[in-house]
Amino acid sequence: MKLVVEETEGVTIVEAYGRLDSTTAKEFGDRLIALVQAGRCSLVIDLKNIAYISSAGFRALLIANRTTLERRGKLALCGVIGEVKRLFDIGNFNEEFLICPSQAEGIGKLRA
Amino acid sequence: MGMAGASEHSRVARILTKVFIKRQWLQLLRNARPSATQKKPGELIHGVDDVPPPLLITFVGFQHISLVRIQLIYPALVIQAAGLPISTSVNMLSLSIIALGVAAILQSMKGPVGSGFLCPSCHTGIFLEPSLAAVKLGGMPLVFGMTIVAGIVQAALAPMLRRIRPLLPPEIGGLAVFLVGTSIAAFGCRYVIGVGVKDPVGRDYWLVAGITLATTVGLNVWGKGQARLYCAIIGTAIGYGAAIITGVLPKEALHVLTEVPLFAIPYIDHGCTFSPNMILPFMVAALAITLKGIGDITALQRINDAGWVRAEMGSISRGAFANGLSNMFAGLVGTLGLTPSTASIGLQAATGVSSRVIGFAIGAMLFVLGFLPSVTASLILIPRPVMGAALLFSACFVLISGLQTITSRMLDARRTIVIGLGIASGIAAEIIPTFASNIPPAIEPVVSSSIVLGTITALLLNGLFRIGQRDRLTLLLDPTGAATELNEFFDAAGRRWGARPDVMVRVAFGIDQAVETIREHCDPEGPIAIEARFDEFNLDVKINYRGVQLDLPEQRPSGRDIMETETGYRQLAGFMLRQNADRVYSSVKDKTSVLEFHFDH
Repeated sequence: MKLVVEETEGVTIVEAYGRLDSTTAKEFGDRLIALVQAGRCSLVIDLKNIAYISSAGFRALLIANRTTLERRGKLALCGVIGEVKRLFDIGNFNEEFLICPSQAEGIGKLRA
Repeated sequence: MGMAGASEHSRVARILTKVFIKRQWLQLLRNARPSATQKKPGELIHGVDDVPPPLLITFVGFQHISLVRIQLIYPALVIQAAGLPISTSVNMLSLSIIALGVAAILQSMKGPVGSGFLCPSCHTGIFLEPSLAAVKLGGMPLVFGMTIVAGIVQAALAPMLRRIRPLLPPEIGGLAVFLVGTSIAAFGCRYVIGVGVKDPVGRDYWLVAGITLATTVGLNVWGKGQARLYCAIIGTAIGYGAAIITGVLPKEALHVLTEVPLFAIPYIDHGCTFSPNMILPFMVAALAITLKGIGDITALQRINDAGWVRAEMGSISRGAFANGLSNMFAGLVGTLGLTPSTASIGLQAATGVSSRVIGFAIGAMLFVLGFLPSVTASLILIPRPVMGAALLFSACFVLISGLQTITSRMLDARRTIVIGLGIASGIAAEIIPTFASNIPPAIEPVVSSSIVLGTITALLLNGLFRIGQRDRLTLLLDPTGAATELNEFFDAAGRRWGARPDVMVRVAFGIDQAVETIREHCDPEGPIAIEARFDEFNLDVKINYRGVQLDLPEQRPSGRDIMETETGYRQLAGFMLRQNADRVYSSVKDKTSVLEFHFDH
């Protein structure tokens, strides 16, 4: 899977591409933890280019979210649309994360 | 007739009762239920079960009447061929109008008879050739007698239609709707351009068509409220005015109105005769009308239900039965056979008014009009360019509705060919009318209608391609294999089955997640066997593997359990699998675990 990381207004944007399953979730989770440990504790993760997310992907997101909170940071998700949105719904994950409609709104929420 | 003959007849009657009445008709009655599951689309202002204001019912009713009266040309042509005097001709047209009224009421009913939609009927070219042949052979009484026979054939076919459901997948329903749209569009184009008009057409004729179309389209796109609602009737009224001003509708034509009485009671003074020589052409016509009716009523279902997924054969059967009864009535009173009016379906899509109450009003209005020959004559006077523009406008909505239905399913090469050749042959019937000239008259009704020819082509090809096609597919997957293999398998399966893409997305996730979980948590030995079975209503997938049984909990584990324990992580997968499918089962026998997923389709 491909990850594109960039910094905007003090917020780190992570755009993920491809499948978030048991073969890619570990690498994905490790990259997020590394960013948080490097002091980038305001994270917006854009999932609009994710085609598939399995239980392994949700676990990686939960761990990244907890790590961010432990560092007194914030993690927001955006691009939760289509099939990924359906999977968030059936897994009852909508309450577990701060979900924003767009990157800009995610940045706004984290800066507030 | 002797006793033996009587006994033979009573045995035949018993068999027929058993076959037709006891099973098929009871089934028809059982399925006569209101359309409670229909979801009214947002673009409909008054849906099928709504009751619009009386003024609107009257206006829209007249719009439909103006459309169906165009096809009075067919009985008029047969009258001409029979050389009947004017008084008899006017009487026959009055009786035709009364038959149209009865048909409109029958189709609007919800019960064992009637499609339960606003579905006015009209005369049709499909009965033209058999009727002209019957006139030559035995005069008008033979036309009427054989029209009754066609009605009986259609009514007998009606309850059997649900049995052909496997042969009528949704994309073919969509094709029929699309062909209905092309047929409306072809009528509209001919009328707008002026093809087949006796007098030469010119700038004024096209100007009238342009004004009508521009007004209707303008009001529909930019108009609001009442203006949008009445766009077709306002466009028609303005077009009518333009036709009088420009002389496209000559003032002398209006004098015809003074030559026929204002009020006259229609009378029936004819007999009915039958001929075995005419049975085949009229049976073919009845079959053709039934197939066309499938397309028409499918289009009505599509227009009236935002959640439409597949053709509902109940209303199609009851609609075909109503059409059969209407044709029996038409033959009895003395006119030609009827069919649901395709143009009226387009009008409903265009105006957003599809209330079946209007069907009853149309029936009552037509009944009254049957006693007013002068008004009947005025209906015939609505200018062709005006009517052409209205039909062209209606066609847009029906065409797109058909295309949306076709593309609502995944299509493989077979299905693409079925639909492609269906469209091609349907269009051939429209644009190459000479196509039918060298065909035996008996099957001319089949090839002379684009809807019938296109639908029959698709049905035959679909039947042919079903030979040897398996609805059960299997895949043996190496536990270390790539996910792409699974995705390709289910993508190909979905196309082969013509499955709904949204259901196949759920299936793909479910199997992907299941295989991923089996690999990670269930220590599989040997290959994972995946078997998928499909019919139009069910999609079932069974996964067999040698390994630990997978839990499918009803409650999701907590976030903490998911993050910190392998059990919580594994249970999340099981929980998502349960939520993703409509039904799931997990079992184990002799170290072989089985996961079964059912998806409603």
